[in-house]
Amino acid sequence: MRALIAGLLAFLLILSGVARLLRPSRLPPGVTPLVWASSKNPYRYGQIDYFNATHPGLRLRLDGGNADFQRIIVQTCSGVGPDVFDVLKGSYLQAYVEAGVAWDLTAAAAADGIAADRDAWPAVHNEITYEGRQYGYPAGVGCFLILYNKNVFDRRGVPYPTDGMTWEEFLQRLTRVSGVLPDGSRIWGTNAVDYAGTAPAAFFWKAVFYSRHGEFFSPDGTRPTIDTPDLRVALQLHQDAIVRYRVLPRTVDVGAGTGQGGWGNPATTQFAEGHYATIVSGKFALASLRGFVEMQKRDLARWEADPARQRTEPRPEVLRLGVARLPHASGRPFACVALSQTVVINPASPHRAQALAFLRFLASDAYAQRVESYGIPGNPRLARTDYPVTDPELAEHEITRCEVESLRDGYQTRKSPFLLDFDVDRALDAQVARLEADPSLDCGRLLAEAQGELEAMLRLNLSRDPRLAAEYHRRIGAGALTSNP
Amino acid sequence: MKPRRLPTALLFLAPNLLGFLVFTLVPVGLSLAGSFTNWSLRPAVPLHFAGWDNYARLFQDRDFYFYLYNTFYLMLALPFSIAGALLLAVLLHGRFSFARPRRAPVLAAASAAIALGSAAVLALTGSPNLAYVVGALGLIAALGIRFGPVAYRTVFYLPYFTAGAATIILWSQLYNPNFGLINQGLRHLAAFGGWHVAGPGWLTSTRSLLGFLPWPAHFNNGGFGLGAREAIMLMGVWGAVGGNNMILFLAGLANVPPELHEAAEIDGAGAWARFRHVTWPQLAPTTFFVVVISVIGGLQGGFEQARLMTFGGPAGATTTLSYYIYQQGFERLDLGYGSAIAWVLFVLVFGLTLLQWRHGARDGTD
Repeated sequence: MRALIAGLLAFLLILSGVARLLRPSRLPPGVTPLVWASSKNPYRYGQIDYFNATHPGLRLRLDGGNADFQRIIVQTCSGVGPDVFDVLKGSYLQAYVEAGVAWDLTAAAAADGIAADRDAWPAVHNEITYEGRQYGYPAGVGCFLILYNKNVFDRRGVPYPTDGMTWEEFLQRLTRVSGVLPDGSRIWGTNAVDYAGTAPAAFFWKAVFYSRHGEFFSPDGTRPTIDTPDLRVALQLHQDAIVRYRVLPRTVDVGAGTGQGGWGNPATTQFAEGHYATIVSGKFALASLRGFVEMQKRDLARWEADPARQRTEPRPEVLRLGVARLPHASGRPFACVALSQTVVINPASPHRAQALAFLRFLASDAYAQRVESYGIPGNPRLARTDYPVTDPELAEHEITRCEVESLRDGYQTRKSPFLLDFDVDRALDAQVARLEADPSLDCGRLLAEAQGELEAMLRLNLSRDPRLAAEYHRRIGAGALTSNP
Repeated sequence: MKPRRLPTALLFLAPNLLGFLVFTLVPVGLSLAGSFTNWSLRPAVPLHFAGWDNYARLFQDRDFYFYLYNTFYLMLALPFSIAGALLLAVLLHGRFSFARPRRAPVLAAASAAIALGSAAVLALTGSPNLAYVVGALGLIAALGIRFGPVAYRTVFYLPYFTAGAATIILWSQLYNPNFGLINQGLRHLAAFGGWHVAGPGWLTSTRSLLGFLPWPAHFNNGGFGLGAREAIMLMGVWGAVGGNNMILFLAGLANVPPELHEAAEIDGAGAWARFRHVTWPQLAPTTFFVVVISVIGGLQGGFEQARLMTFGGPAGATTTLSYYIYQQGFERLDLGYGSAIAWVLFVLVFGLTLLQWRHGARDGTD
């Protein structure tokens, strides 16, 4: 037994020695470490290397697996959070501000060339500010577009989607490209699943809702406006796309699927493989599609060099991407919601002042050049459509044009201090999941339930926070608390 | 213990005791205190005493009842897990062998070669999925021929020490209604009989074998059928049959005196009668322990499956109380309410365990 314990101790000592050897080297004196909790976008590493090379006093490091909402909250509240982190939705920013883990940059931003009203796209103003205060700066912005696989449309002889279509026209066209192939595999018309939160969530209904310039709150933010004609139409069209047109899979069908692995939305790679004729996505999809197209090109080159394979296998296809702006609501002008990957500074970070240099970098031309191959920079003055492209099949300049035009018409939904947009998302996602699980349910009834649930939640929030209750009274007048909602 | 040895004993116990105090007792105490406050991760919300408000809210929370129902529903798989573990233990308890020791290596090698060859042929002729199955089964058979029951004990225990997340992701692929191996297999089987079946929706479906729910206004069951809950139950049974329960039953079986079996055999008892009247009563304490632990695990379970497979969906069908605690605490940032749910869950676990001790312990030792 003694020998065993001694052996174990010796083994642990050896492991400690190995761990010590593998430990990252200490930073030189005077260099400040910064940790950025973000996604493992393959372009991120080049951006970080460039930042470190041009900022010798700072050493930025990517924390790629810790950008989840819950992890950021828990880590930051317990004092071990990252210095800067990404926020992918305005509703999350609101939750971070409410949780006290987002630093108010308003004063610093104005003096630093990263001001929301001057140095960022107007359409994402509400994605980087909350209640009039600025909390971040975008690492990238965008709008949802229709990306389509030209190969799928060409095979069926169906015209490509175009700018200016209505939703009904778009869905009608998709019915001609979707269906079951002779080999039993299925091609869906479109895919609209979001992975920005903790769960895959269908957002086809949201794209329709935003195209009607929909709002989740009353203008003064005191009431959720869920049970409305705009949302009813949006949910009905979502249901129709699944049941009547049969061009949209349910969320769980997509959530259970896989892509090629690695970074990115699995639905994007399934689209590239031809399982979907179109995908509701943005220019950011290029970050994963580029790698996929290069893989397809290599496969094609191998096929062309192998006569035996040519006799037994059809010619492998390389994705040819097309793009159109989102359809619009019938009889209404084009509208869409603008998106931002907002970088926020942790107020508890001992390096928060130095982290401002990183946000300044995000607003610079050098960063814009590094982001333009897959995204749109946060500074509108730096968005270009004349940069050299690597893969002509990916229609990069066309996508950029669509993004820029959509961003000009884009808007941000209202936020309310009394109810997190985050909770609205959750309540509506749950009802959409119910609708997808049982299409016989009535959309109006589901929305009425969500309305009731959110009103109850708002009342609960007011009862738990006297500060909120006072503000609520101020906005609607004393005594109205019981009647509205 | 001699008084002079007490400090030494305490010194040795100190690391464990300190760890227990800091990482278990204090958080548990905090959560109990927190359940009587409006404890929130939002700093703007001032902490104040809320009395029984969280508990009152909980009893009016229809989501809580639905998730409690889900928790109990998923526990319906427990008898099958326990019975499966017992059956497996009985099968693996015997000292059977497929071949004489001298010939075993040769036969095992031949079996492995045939399995790998068949798998290669199947893979080359366009049936890779079948190739995996045939190859795996053949290799397991080869291991059994070479090493006997020990090989099977190891194979059946594998799911237990394989990373949970990995098996959960694997099962979510198997359950894919369009491309998953299970529905593909069902479709192929049905095609042999000339039928066309789409296969169950599995993780995408709110259907259940009970086919009804007591809360039709808010939740729907989607009718009778196999849905997400059954998918999780099947996966749970697969993981539990060869897990710790099997090991416990094997240990219990090893302690059954062989003279009892011999006496029963002399009296003319067959295999079933020996199991029914000798093995089963002798295993009563083990069975009682397994049932208690399984019920506790069942009440606390469902978190990993919900987090990794379904995110609690579809339409809340796979949200259990443990996942609901997480949702309230870390998604809605409402730690006070999350703590209240945790304590109600504790009372449930404690009450059920007490009930089992009062009745089960007596029956188990009688």
